[in-house]
Amino acid sequence: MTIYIIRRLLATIPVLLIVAVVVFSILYLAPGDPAAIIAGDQATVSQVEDIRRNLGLDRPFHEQFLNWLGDIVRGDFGQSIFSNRPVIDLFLQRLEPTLALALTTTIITILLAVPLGVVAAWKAGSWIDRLVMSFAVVGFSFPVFVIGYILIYVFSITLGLLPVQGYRSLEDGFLPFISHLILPSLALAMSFMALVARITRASVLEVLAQDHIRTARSKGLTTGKLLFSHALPNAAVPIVTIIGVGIAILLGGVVVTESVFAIPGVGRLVVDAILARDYPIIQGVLLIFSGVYVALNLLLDILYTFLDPRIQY
Amino acid sequence: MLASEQNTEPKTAPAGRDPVLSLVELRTSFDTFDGTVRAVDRVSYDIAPREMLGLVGESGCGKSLTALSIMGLVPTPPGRVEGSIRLNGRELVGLEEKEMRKLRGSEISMIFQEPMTSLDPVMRIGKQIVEPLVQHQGLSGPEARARAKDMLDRVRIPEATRRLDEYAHQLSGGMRQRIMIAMALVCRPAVLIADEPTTALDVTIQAQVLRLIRDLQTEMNTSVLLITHDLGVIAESVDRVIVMYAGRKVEEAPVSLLFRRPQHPYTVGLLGSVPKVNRAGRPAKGRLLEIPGIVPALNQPIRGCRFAPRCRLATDRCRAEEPPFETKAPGHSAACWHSDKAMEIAGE
Amino acid sequence: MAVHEIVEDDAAPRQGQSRRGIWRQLRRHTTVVVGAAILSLIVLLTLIGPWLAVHDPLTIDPLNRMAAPSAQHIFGTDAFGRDLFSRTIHGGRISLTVGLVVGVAASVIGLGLGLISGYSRIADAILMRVMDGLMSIPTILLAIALMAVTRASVYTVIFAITIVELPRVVRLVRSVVLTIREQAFIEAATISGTRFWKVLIRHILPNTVAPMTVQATYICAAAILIESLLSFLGAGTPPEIPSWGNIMAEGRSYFQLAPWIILIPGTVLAVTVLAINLMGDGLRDMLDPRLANQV
Repeated sequence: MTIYIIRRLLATIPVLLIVAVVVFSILYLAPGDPAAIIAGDQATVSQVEDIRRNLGLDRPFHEQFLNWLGDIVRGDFGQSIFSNRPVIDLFLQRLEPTLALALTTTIITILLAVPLGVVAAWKAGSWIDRLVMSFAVVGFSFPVFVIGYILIYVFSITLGLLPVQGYRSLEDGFLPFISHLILPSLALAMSFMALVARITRASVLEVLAQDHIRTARSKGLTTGKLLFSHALPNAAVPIVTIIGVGIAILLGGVVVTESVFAIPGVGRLVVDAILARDYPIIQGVLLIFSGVYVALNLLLDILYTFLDPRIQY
Repeated sequence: MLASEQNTEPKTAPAGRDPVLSLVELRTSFDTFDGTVRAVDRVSYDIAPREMLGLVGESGCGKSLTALSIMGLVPTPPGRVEGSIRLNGRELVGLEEKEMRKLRGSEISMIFQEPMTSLDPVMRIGKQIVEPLVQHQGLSGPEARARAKDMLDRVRIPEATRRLDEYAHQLSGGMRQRIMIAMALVCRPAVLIADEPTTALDVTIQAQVLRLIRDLQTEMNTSVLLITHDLGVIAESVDRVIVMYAGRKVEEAPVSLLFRRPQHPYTVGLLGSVPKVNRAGRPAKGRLLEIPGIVPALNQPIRGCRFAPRCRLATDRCRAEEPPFETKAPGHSAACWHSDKAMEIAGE
Repeated sequence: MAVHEIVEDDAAPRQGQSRRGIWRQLRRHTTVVVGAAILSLIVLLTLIGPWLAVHDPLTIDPLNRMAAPSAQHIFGTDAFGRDLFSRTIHGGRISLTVGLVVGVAASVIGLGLGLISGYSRIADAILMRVMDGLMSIPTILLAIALMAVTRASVYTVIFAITIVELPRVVRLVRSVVLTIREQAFIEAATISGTRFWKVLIRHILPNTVAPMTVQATYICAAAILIESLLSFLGAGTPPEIPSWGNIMAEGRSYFQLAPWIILIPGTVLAVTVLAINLMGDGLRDMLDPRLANQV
């Protein structure tokens, strides 16, 4: 087991390295001269050259890449071109709202989509199954921001139940915190839920056809126990896998959702950086998000062994 | 008019004991795109207390479906169960699912053919055995676990305490079938239905498992319905046998009578397909007897005897009229116009 | 039950058998039919729209800013008084083009890379690591980053979305090639001296057509969604081009006053994506039942 984890950890290194190469190349190839941008409008040619040399921008690609990678390994993601502050600081400063949004979204998704998928599988072919599956198809067809605006229109503007935009830290109290998070989380959860409900239905349906379900029924178990202590645990591996895949959707969706709901998180940081062409921030966030994604999927891989005792590494 | 309606079914359960389980005119059918399939057609039989009854027939003859009908596990729709199934006098046909559920696993239990796949692969053995106790008797914790361990001892699984915490994939096929038996009997049901319990097992293990079922039946005062296609299994374990063909009961007799003097050509054919063993224990010479022909489609009306197309004794009468199920000798009944000649084809 | 009852009872379902069979066939293909119908309607609208729409999509009407949907402007007008119906129809051309081109481009390039990967071990090792890397970067973020470093145009949007969708196709094609390579008939073909490209054309390509068609459909839907997200964030199609994403992006500041600027084109977009996805689901069930359990 420990050996497996270590091997699996080592296997993520090449993936992360590729991510680093991709991220670095994209921004290396970017048009525009970072040195000129940093130097500003009034700088002379020699001033720009100095900055270029100081930043190492005159060196060949591989040297620049290795320097950059070395810094990253030491936790130095460079500095914002505009504010001159370390990218990692800017990132950490904006982390709390993003983390809160991502967590509530995941919780909503798992609490709603998994039971919905299970019920749809149990009642396969019924109106409730069709309803859940229609919702899944529709949920997957709306862009996050349109769902966000629909929710704002209904719950904030028309009904006046929830705040339109903004973010309150948990320190301001739970109620303001959660009331600001409900709509963005729901908007973000929609496509995630569609994905998870669909897979849950498909895998539970498959499990329900297996022999051991017949055994469980012959024991006189209630439907609830049949579904949630036998069918669902047997369907857990594909469901967990798709939750892992969905995290990618989540991390991307965060950027859009934060824009719609004016949440001062990492997503806003990226959007602002794009508009300002602040490349080190884009690079940093891209790398960190990819790292988080790879790490979470590694965790899920390890989780498999607990979900299915037959899986052994 | 059908024969079975003219003749009342002979009382087959040994006299003096009320049957634990009694099936009267059980009909199980399925609505499919190709019409209604009558998989079990007007089948009646009784099981006496502490009796071991064998139910034999080729695959697809409806024997497993009678079991699922008794358990209330036939999906309806598309299935339909009609007639009467009485468990200790209580009617099960038409019983609400909620009530039926209370009986499953506590009053009637079932074990299945495939021990490799019939256990939940991701739940510990102990928890699976305990489940019926928790569901039906409200037991929990150490008490339930003690009962589970006791059951593992009864099914002769060594190191029971350790096994409770293992998973199905860590056990052999024979071991898994023992676990299934333990699980089925943990609530001391009145009836245990064993559907081909040894078919998937090695020959040596088969005998052990059959012996175990037999022993536990006596030990726990359970009636057993043993379903199999293998007359060899029947010979070793049951008291009485029912032979089914194409959804119908064709013969019923105490096991010794059935083997000594079968009254239905189909039974004769089945007996012929059992590898014969001579006195010295070596296989007898001669080819296995095969029954030629195919089983009639059950989604179409059948005239006459269902076995007629495959029967060498078939006459015009067989093809036109269904033979009545009637007593041919004391305790021995069959549905055949030519039962007196049935033995003749055996020697050929 | 008497014999005559059985006879009667049995005759009915057999009579209805063929009718039920047809009904079942139709039902199985309903999703494709419905999806295709909706999509055709939308495509038709975008094609004949200029003759249908009374208003020019670019004409500014300061007196009619943010007019609610009415008989005059059935989708209302935007912040500059431009007719939203004309703009939505016009935007459909851009969004649908992006979807179609990305679907085709990702399929063709992915097919090429997947074939190479399926046949050469060295290329496979390299390509798969790169694809793993690309797949580890959240889709929208990668597209945003690609857009951030290029000059915004419809072409760069297509390029960026193609890149992020590529890994899925490559993996799909690769898995098909690997499966088929295992099968005996390919072995036999190789032994008998048939040249590589013949194997490719006779065995590999026909087997990739079904899953690729399904995949291309899904990619087309995904591309339309991603285009709208990029444009909405200001990192997509140049703002002067009225793609669906851009129309909605312009409505952001006025949402409380004129919610229809986002909600109506958003719904049109969702219906389009839904129609394409329905077609994909239906095609998947028709062409490759094995895929039906995956997503």
